[in-house]
Amino acid sequence: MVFLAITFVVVAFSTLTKLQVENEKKKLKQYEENASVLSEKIISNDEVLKRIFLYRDISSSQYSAKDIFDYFSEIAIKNRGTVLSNFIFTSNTSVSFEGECSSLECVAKFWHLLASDRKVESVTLDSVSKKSLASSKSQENKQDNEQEEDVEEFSGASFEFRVTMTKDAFTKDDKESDDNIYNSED
Amino acid sequence: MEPESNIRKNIEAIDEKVKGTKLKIKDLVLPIIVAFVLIGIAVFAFIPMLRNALDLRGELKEIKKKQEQMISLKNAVDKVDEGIMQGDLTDVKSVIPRTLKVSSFLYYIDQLALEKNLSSEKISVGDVNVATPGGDDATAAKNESRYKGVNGPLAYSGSLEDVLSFLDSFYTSSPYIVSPENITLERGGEDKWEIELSLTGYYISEENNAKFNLYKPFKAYTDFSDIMEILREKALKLAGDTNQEF
Repeated sequence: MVFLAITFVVVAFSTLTKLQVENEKKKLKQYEENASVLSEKIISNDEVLKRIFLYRDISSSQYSAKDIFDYFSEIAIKNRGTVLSNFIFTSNTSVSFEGECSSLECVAKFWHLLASDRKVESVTLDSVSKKSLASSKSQENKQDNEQEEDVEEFSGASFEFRVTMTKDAFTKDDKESDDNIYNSED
Repeated sequence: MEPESNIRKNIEAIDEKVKGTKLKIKDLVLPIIVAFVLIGIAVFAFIPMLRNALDLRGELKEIKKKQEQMISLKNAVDKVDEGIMQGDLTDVKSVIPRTLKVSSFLYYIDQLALEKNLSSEKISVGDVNVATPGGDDATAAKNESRYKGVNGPLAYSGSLEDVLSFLDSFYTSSPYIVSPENITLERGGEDKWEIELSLTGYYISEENNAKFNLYKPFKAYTDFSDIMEILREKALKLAGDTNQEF
């Protein structure tokens, strides 16, 4: 009797489960047919989404080279005697520029200003050199010997900086006014 | 004497009865056979049936999950207005077309430079495949090119203001999705600046036999209304520029 009861339970469970699965499969097929009717709409939605994702991917790395140029030009103007002449924009966080300064001290000051800027993460001075204007001889008469000395005049210094900016320093959402925090110092 | 014989007979009869009730091996044969049959039925019939039934229950769960997915897909798709979507699709396809003709792209750049009073030093473009760093992890991991583009080196010269305005227009008001790279800005004279850059204009080429998967998670494009607004503006600008062209 126990064996019969167990047999009945097992067979009933198995059969009911099979029937349930068959029914649900039929329902699922119906749902799939209803959804297939919307395939054109889904494909069109995907087409729009692809372009939205493309725009999002591209715009995430976009930056305004003009804003970066203006920003560092402003710093250069504040650092009197500094003229920037060549910019290379590598990415939204990396820029190199060359320029000239009235003196090495001016270059050093400009370097300090860049290094302490809130939008600058790091700054590297790739090269610096004095620019020679002319050399002139001056003669000194001494009682017994004549001595000649060469005196060179320097017109300034040229430099090349490589700057790494903070992330999002110049993004589209950055609408802060670029208040120059530097005081001009003589 | 007679009672003794009777008792003896009784004892012998009882003894016989007792002997008759003793368990013999032949008495065990049938129960053992029956037990083996029942165990066999349990092992070879019941257990597989139960296992099959449990597998079917697992399958039932999966089917119900798919049914819910189909229902939510239908609800989500029904929320998207077909008419508005087709209009938006036309707009975004004009901004990021299936193919970006090199001639169209060149025309756009040249017109822009003319507008900004720049003189052309060099311009050439060609087709490229582009893998963007901003793509999803799976694509980046496979290092596949997701987007197509028209790319080429450009060089222009003009006043600083004009050159910067030219550069800024790619960032602020370009009708196409473009990405300027390797930008070099060099002072060439008193008020002459030279700009060199590599510019890429993007398009999405479409597969002719794109596989349609009902079970791919559905994301309505209307969830990105801010980006859609930008793309609509660019499409309007393109339409305006096209009208002027003709």
